[in-house]
Amino acid sequence: MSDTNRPDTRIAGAGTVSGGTYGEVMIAGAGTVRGDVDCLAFKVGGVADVQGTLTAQTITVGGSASFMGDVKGTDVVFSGNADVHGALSAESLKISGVARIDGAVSAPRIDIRGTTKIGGDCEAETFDAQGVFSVGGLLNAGVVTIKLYGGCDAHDIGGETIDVRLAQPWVFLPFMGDRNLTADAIEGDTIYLESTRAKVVRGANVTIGEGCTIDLVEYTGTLTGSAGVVASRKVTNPTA
Amino acid sequence: MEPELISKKDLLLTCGISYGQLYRWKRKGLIPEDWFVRKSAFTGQETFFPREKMLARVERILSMKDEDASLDEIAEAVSSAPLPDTFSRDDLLEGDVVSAAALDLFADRHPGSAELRFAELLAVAVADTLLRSGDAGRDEALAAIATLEEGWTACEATSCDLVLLRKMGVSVVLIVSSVSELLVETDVRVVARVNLPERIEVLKSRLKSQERGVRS
Repeated sequence: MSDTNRPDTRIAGAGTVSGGTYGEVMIAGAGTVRGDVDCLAFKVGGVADVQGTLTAQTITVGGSASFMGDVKGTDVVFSGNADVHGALSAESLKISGVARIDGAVSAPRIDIRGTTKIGGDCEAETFDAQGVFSVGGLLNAGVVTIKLYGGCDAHDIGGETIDVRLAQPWVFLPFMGDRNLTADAIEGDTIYLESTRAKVVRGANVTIGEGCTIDLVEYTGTLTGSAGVVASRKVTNPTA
Repeated sequence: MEPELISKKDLLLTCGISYGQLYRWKRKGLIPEDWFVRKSAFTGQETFFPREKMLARVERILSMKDEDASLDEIAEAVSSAPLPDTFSRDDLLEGDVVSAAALDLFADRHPGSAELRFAELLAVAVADTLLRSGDAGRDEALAAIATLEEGWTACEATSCDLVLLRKMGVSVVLIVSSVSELLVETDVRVVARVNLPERIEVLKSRLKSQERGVRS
């Protein structure tokens, strides 16, 4: 990846990298990045403190990293511990470790296998969660697939297909506590819910599975299952 | 004045669109973030939209979809994504964004400036509309440019129209709010009324298609 305009840099012990344009930035020890960085690959195996914004094609955090500003990448993989104080945007975001993003998250493909806390809105075409997550704002995705391994929540959820199921763990999970999803409003075209608490669920075809508590379901097509549904109504005529 | 609002539910029923579609459009940036107005209702928080703007936007999106435009193309056409700061005369002519005649008017007013800022370009574009339709003469088009250059900052935030009035051969150019009705004396003729937000959208979509042309 060496290039005169994009030099590679590597911190193996303890060190500081100044902001700028790089090829590969590799932090294996403990490193501080001062300023905004634009690089092709950003890899953290140790501990990194990025005191600016980061723009990179691939971002891999296997160790622990904290980002003061926005993070923008094509392929972002957080398998360690990542803390983003700004917003995060990517083409593909995979979180298998522990991640906290204070701002908004936007990526066509989001896979969550670990624990994730998002402060702002979360937008994706495909949102696939098999872990624990919290979205402070709106979770808006074309296809939302959630397998509950723990307590998950979002302020609101909207999309085309929303599918929430209790995970069928193939190992015993004694420390997981309650496994459920909490949201104010869930709105979509096709909705399937299990173990969900929501104030209102609106959609075309709604299926309410086991373990739900829903104050109100509004549907235009069909409603299947009614256990835990306090009130439901079919919405048909705009003038009614 | 607070614009009339429409609830999300009513919007979907009125326009025959689904929640999924609406959320998709939101993700694609087809509907501006600040159009989503959250209000508390008896079922908790509900989302409302500015009625007129939203209905017009949905209609536009649906009609563009009928023409087989992709969502990205629609997003480009309706978005308020940043444009370059200035536009050169040559690029504008090459892309057929505005006519040479309208640009010449501007050049007469500001000799020696080859680059136009967006507000100036809008003024030229409005003058272009007036000239092309044959509604306005050269002097009137010039007056329109002058009025917009001075008044643009005041009306940028709200929806305004540029109006050309004529009485016994004397013409007046003014900018009024889009919602206001004009009551004029009997000899006065409203020659032209150009809705500025609409003109801006047309202008932007031309600029963007030009950009695409340059890229490809």
